[in-house]
Amino acid sequence: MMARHLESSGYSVTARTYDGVPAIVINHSVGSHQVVLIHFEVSQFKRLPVFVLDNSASYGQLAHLLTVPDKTYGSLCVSETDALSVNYEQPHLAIEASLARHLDILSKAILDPEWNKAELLREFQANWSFVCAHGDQELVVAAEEGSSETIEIFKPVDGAKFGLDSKLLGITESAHKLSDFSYIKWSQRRSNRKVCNASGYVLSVNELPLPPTSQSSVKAWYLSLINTLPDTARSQFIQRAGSFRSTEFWLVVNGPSPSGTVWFSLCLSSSKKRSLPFSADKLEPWSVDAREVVLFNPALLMPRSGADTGLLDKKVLLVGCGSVGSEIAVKLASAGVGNLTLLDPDDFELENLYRNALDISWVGLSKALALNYQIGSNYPWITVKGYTGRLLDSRTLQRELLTSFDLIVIAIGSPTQERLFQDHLLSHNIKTPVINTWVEGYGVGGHASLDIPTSQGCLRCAYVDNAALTRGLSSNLNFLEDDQSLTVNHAGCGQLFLPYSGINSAQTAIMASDLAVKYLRGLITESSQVSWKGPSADAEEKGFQLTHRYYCFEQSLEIVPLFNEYCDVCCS
Amino acid sequence: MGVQREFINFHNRIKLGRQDDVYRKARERDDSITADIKTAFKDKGYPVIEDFLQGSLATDTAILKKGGDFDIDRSIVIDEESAPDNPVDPKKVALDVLDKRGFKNAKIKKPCVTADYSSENLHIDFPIYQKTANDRYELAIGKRNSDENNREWSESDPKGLKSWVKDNSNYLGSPDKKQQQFNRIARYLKRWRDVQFSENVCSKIFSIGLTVMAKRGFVPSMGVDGKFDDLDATLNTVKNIINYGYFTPVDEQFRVQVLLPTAPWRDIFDGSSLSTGTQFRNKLITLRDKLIEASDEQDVKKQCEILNKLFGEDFHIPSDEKNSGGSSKKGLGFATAGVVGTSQGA
Repeated sequence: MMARHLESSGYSVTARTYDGVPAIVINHSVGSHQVVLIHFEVSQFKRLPVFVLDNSASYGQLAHLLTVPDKTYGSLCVSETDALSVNYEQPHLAIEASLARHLDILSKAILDPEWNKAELLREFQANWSFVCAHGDQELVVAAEEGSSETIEIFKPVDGAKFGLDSKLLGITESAHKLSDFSYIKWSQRRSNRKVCNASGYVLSVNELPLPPTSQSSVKAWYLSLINTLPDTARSQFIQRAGSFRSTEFWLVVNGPSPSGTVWFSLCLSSSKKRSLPFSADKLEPWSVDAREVVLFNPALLMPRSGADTGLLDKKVLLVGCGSVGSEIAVKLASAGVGNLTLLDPDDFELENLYRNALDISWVGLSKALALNYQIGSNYPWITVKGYTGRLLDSRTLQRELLTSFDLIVIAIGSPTQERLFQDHLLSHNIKTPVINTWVEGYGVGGHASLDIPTSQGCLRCAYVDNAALTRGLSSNLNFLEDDQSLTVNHAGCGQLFLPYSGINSAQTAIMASDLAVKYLRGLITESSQVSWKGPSADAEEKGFQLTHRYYCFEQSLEIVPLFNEYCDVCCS
Repeated sequence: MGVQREFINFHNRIKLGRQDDVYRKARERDDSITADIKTAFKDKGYPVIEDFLQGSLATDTAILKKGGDFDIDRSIVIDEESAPDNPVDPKKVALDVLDKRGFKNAKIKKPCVTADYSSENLHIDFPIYQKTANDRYELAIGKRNSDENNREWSESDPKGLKSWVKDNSNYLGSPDKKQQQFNRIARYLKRWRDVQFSENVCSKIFSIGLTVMAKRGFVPSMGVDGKFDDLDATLNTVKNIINYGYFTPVDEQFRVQVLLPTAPWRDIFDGSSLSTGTQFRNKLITLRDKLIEASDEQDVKKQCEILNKLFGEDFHIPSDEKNSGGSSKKGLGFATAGVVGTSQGA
């Protein structure tokens, strides 16, 4: 049916077996070429129908064309196939659409050499991956700047089967901005990684040649890379990298491509110690393998994994490392914030386990210190400091210290202390913006207010008693009415707690973190508020009263102005 | 700064609560007279088993009256078992107590014993109830010389009425605060009555009548952000009062009829004249129209000028709109509660 459909659509189609597999073969003219595309039949289209290009070697180096070992055909990479929604219920339409895409990309590659070259470079990383020797140990390289420099290479940890411990580790001179508790720094300190005999060198090139097409061509490709370096760069490279003798060299190369800077490596190995070869005859006794590089580099790793390098120079004081605060700390770190100071008076206890970002190994340690270690080890380019203390303790700090932060985030769920702290900031003319955030009991919601002193709206706006038009003692953002016995007692005085889930606190933290990041990125310039609203079933089952705001609220996660026209602080 | 602040300031000027300082003397007088009545009733063999406030102080809708008069509505309850058959008997005992306390014009009215204490601007009402075995209340009805046909222990539900006025169960979300808004609206309407009607007619627009009408017509007006809009709530309440069907046309005039929402379910304005009903309706319509005018007005000062004419001098007119916010510039009042439990955690 599919073949008939393609035929009726004007294609030259033959249905026959190919390599013993039923297939649909398409003959099609592309310029002066008569291309043959083959679709091996499948029982169901789970992804975009695939066509391979017969006699692929005859076309030279084409973008998006990957040779298949031991076959005369090559596979065409058309798109990120999982992202496509394929009409598997009408397969004749799906195969026609797929064929059109294959022919489109093939036509451009064959008929437009400039486009072909640009695409080969844009897809450099993927093409490089294709020629890599798979199964060999990966090299993890910490290199922050990408400039030419030496690499100290460490062996994997003995017996390590997974994780970074199982990989070769290369540390460059430029990797000095790493967190003290980062994996890399720890690896340098620990004795279970031994320095390798291998020598490493970062080579930065201004122009990348087209990638090699097969593993067998990598050796020649290495020479061409060296030979096409500009004279100065080439001589500098030979001078620096050529001074080492080793049985193994790791040459980690970076260069510009249309899709950004690409990093890859070449591993040269020899049976005995030699200098790095720069000519064909010197290269003779060496084997050269293409290798992929796992890079510890903020410019690459942070955006690729969702962080913003623009936040690396931001300084945030986070007060409260409980259920909400600990999640905020993690989220700010994962967003890319570079400097985090943590303050909390309490130790991490088992009773905190299910609603705290800390893992069980930290039980008994100060929450702030534990987060310091946990975050510092997980996020390579953050500077974290953890201190045991309370929000109001910070009133004794020098004014300059509090003003040195770009943002203060308070997640302590104490309206009294939050207001006292605001009084302190006001009386000392400290203009550091403050986010106050809290979660409410029984899953009804959570809130965050952002007080930017240079704009209209402040914490007190969220505390105006809108009924009496006086200063209020509880936030007017709340969804649960005041003065209800909301806490639960499990073991007498001191063991009271407000019931809410880890999801509730995490949701609040994500919302507050989003507010913080948007402020730090300059996307919010006015004092703001944001809330999320959850179901009321649990609260109502317990007979608790909800506020008018709860029932009317339809702006979950929407950031809106904080200013209240009746706030005396803002209107004074 | 909106007109809501002016409404709140107006409310603060007119409201009267039992614990207010200004009410201190009246409260002391109330406590003292109640104690004397209890002693006298005990001596007569029908000890007081319960006493409670009713009226506007009990429903949080009391206002300061022009001239600074205070009302006390103190219910005295005796047990049905010990109560005399003649409901006027305990009223005479109460009257005797009031006479001895120096009230010059103490008298027995049909539903209560009443007196004025002119030196303290105090008006006092003592309704007397007997409580039946099934916890129902019966009011002592009858004047000093009423015969058997005009006196009775009549079924009544003073606590039910109080609960009905204070019921906030129909207000979804922040019910207490919405009830407080109702209390304010009821007070505004009472002050409007005091300002707009002649003394003679004013006394016939009963507070309980206005309160019941307001309660039935009240729709809370509160923004998503929790801010109240008393102008809007007052306007909607007045519209609902006008449209509820309380006013029946009679020969181009109107009779007002408002039934009590609890036993004995009587018409609060029973015996009211057509003139009173007509005036009442006409002035409510004027109130509605002026409130609409104020509502449509953007300038706070102009809004307050309209409202000042409706509610009297206690509704202040700011010198200009900015000065209206002046109360904020001077600082908000501090919260009146010492401690409030919140739902805030982290």
